[in-house]
Amino acid sequence: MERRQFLQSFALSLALGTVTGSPLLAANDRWKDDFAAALKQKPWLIGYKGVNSNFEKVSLKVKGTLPERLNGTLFRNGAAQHEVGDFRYHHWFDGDGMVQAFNFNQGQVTHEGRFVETNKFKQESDVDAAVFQTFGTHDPQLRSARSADEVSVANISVIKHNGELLALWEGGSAYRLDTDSLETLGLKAWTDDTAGLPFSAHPRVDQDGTLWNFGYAPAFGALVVYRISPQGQLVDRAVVPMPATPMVHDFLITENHLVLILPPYNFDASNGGSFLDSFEWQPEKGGRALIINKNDLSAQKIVEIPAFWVFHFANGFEDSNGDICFDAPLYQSPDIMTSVFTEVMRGNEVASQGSELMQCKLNPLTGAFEMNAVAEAIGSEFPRIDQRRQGQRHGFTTLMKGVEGEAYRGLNQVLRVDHDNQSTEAYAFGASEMAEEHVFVPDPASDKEGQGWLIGTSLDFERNTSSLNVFNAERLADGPVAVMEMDYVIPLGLHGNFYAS
Amino acid sequence: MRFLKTALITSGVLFAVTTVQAADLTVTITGIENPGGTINVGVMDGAEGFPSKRKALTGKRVKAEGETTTIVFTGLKPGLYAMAGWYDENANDKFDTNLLGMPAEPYGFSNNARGSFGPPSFEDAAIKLTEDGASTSFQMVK
Repeated sequence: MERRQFLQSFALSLALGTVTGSPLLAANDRWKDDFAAALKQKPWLIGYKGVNSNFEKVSLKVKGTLPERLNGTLFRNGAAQHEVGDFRYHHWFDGDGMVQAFNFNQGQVTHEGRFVETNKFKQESDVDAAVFQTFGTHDPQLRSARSADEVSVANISVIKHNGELLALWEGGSAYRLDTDSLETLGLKAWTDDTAGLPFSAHPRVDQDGTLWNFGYAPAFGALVVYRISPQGQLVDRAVVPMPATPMVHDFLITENHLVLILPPYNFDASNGGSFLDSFEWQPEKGGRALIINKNDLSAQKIVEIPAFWVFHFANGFEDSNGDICFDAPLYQSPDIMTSVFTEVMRGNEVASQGSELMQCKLNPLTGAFEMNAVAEAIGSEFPRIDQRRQGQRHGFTTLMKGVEGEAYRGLNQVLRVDHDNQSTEAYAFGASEMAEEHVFVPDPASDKEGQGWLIGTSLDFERNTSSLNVFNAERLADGPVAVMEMDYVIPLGLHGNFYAS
Repeated sequence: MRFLKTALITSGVLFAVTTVQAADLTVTITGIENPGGTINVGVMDGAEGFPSKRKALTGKRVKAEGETTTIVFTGLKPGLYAMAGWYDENANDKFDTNLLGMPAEPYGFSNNARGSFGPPSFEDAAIKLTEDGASTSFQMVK
């Protein structure tokens, strides 16, 4: 690295916090009171209330019939502590991460949930007060971050790779957890020179067991790409300079490429406010796709594509013409993140346009881009596939679907899109239920794509219960084959993965 | 960390021009979790280029014997000074960083000043040194 670049980087890296010196907000911060008042009128807000303690392990009663071959653990992660001391965060994504473990063992099911004891969590727990600025909360009385790891909330997803359980955020390092007790073991450093670098929450496992991931570092105008062996060794990595400073939450792998969609949602520290506030939606600049050769990370190409915002991709693959195909819920802007998931934290509903599930095709040479909407999947999120098809043509995508225009009300359908037959099948939860991501679990007795179960959680805001649901993945409309109800509410979370035992 | 290296080179020269109005700046460095490495502290006397593009007025490099180490800068003119420091934990004579240049070793600024998307300002890190001298402390944090 050139010295000049190094000095510049050093200067930028000294802190990742937010601009200070704005008018003091904390004295008049009414978010906690406003939320408490709104919760009395709007019981669905219970999913965003948050908790301050772990869920001790309990056995869950099984209603229905659990498949005999379903044995293993569904790990889920999500923001769970939204209030620290008297302070309530201003964004759903700010809360401290808690990993939930649902263990299926010969017909017995248990649940436990444990906070990831990040540096931030421990320091704030010690004083029972919010100390640090976060992703979406700006308060000048809170301390700016010296590094991403100092303020990580490790709250987006959880994976197990080479037997190691990792709680993932996207600003900094993953946190290592004990697979059985969920106790936090410490930060994950793949190598000395990648310690502290951003490691995103949506790594992808290739056909040969390689774990691919990236991290975006907007203050550096760069992305980091990771290639990790099935044995957990970092075997290749690259720092990729960016033409802009986009927020990038997920990516795609295909047979030959890593594909990163770079939305025109760019970071500029001079915008002030929180980290999130520093991003500006600039659709007039258009989007870009960064295409990297998997076998030579220095072989990179950028093509221009239409502007859209995207959180998650279902899957990507190359067709016989070499075109890159993928499907994903796409948005006309990131307003669901900047307004809906902010306002809900003080109990306000904000309408949002929501997503459209698009089947996309990108010519990596010309940048020609086509997309077709799947009408039945409007307003959907949390796309999943049968992971055995990762990076290859997939036959179906499952998603969670919300009430159109009412993203704040969460998701209340589970949907399966059959790409070959151009058909969909759905199950609608009850009117007082909010459903979370459901993940596909293959039946170990079948290697046919899509044969298995769809497993996930939901909460009932009238009964104040959460449930773990098991669907036959090929017969969603029949409803869950088994439901494990808890007599408590788990805060609405984000992503998880199932690992068979 | 050019400013620290420069500080080390220039400090000897600057002692020679000490004037009658001289005071001591005493700084206690805290937060050293793994003693045995080398503490590097640079003292700067102005905002321009602070911290990474400004030459340090003086600097010191001392072995960390424990969790805290006290360093005294003598013969300074009364005025405003800000300090930047880093801890060479593995004693390899360089400020280790990761691939993006993010610090991989503990560092800190006087007043425990923090910046926003960058280092703190000189003003936030500044200590007032009077004729009677000044004492302060700051923490090295990774």
